[in-house]
Amino acid sequence: MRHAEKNNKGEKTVRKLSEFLKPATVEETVELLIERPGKRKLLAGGTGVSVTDSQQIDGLIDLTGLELDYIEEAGEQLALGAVATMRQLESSDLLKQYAGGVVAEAAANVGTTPLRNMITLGGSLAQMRVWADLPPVFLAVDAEIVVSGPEGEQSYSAVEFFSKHPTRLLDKSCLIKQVNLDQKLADYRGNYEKFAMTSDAYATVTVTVLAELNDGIVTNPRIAIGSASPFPTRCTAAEEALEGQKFSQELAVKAGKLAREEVKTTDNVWGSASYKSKLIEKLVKRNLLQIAE
Amino acid sequence: MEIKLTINGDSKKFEVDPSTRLIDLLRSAGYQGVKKGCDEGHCGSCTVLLDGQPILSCIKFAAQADGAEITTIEGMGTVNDPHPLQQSFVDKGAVQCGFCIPGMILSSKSLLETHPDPTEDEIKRGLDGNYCRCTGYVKQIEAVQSAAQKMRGGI
Ligand SMILES: Cc1cc2nc3c(=O)[nH]c(=O)nc-3n(C[C@H](O)[C@H](O)[C@H](O)COP(=O)(O)OP(=O)(O)OC[C@H]3O[C@@H](n4cnc5c(N)ncnc54)[C@H](O)[C@@H]3O)c2cc1C
Ligand code: FES
Ligand code: FES
Repeated sequence: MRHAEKNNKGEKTVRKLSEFLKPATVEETVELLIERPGKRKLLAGGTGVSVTDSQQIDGLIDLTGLELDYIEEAGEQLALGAVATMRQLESSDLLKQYAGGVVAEAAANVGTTPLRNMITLGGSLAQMRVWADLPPVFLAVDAEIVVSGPEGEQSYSAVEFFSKHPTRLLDKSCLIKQVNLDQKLADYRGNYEKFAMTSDAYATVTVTVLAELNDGIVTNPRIAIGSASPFPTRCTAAEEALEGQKFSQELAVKAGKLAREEVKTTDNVWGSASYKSKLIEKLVKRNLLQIAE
Repeated sequence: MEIKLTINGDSKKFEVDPSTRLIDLLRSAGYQGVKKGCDEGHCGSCTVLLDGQPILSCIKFAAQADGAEITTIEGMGTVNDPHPLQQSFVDKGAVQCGFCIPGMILSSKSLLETHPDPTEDEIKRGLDGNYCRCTGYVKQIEAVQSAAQKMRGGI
């Protein structure tokens, strides 16, 4: 993939694009993908597709006719349709009430207001950019990612889904259909914080913390770090140190230190590896103190 | 392929290529108030309203807007009969070169529809993504506050 070319009027052109398809069902979408392998690209919000170009592609499959833009309760789960926009996620009452509102808060931190009206859940997961706000939150809440393909539906745990880039994990004739959130976590305390140079900038580091707190005792803590390295990371050593302990300032400091040691940070233009490590320590501590308030 | 758009209340048909961006369609159809700044989703100068919501026309495929209602700055007011937002931007000194202003005004219009009496934070959030390289943003907040008051019938 590389940047799209421009014609002599300064208009972007995607070469060899001859088809624009708008299927009405998931099954039809999969058939369209199978029919011309590698030639057709799924299109959701378009914010990623429109700035990149691929030599092989000559058709777009618009997913906005699939009615996959729901956010609803489904028994023990909250089901989020893949074509729901960031705007829908950030303003959903169900999500604002879920686990301290971590998913809604992450969506609210994506890009800018007009971008959030466009960017979708599925596009965000399929691209899995290092700056993506949602993946670390889904890792923290152990979300389940439902993918539809030629063999029907398949579910991935967040740990599995976020272990490699989706282009390596998923078959080319699949689409991400839905994300399921376990309602058992609905009453957890939680916080999401994005650290970025400006409110519009991509994240340098993001921190998601969740826990139950009863009579000052921490149970089921979850800490996930995003943007510090190519894939989001769970801080299991820090989580183990918190489990079953009486919450205190010292405990939060200890968890911050352990999280810092656990995450193998990498350099990019938004921060050096060592700066990100320092941020992780401070942000984990700060967010733990906040949820304990 | 043929698509239908309702632009500033007029229904129109266009023949587009699947790769055509909404910004290029609108500008070549004469809606040159849609400004092309970065052309990759960062600056907000290409903002238009699609079914009432601000979106970035430079990274929107025209084909995906088929059937939608589009509002551009040409649909807001005229020199002789400006929209209250346009008048307030002038009165408060919120305009310098003007390049960002179509996006600012359209984003403000969408905001005031759901927040007729917005707080300063709500205005900042509503205008988020509209970069201005001239003014420094303070005057635009005042302009939106003043337009909101006028539109509520306060003045
Ligand atoms: C200026 C700018 C700033 C941004 N800032 C942020 C930010 O701060 N945080 C953040 O998280 N994101 C941010 N993004 C968004 C991110 O970079 C991607 O552009 C976005 O996630 C793509 O989502 P989309 O719905 O627009 O997908 P599209 O552009 O439609 O598609 C992107 C890719 O995903 C595939 N795809 C789409 N839907 C599915 C599906 N359901 N199943 C399988 N594959 C699918 C497409 O085929 C394509 O390869 C920003 C984008 C821009 C342009
Ligand atoms: S021209 Fe569209 S965001 Fe800059
Ligand atoms: S007035 Fe010049 S960019 Fe805003």
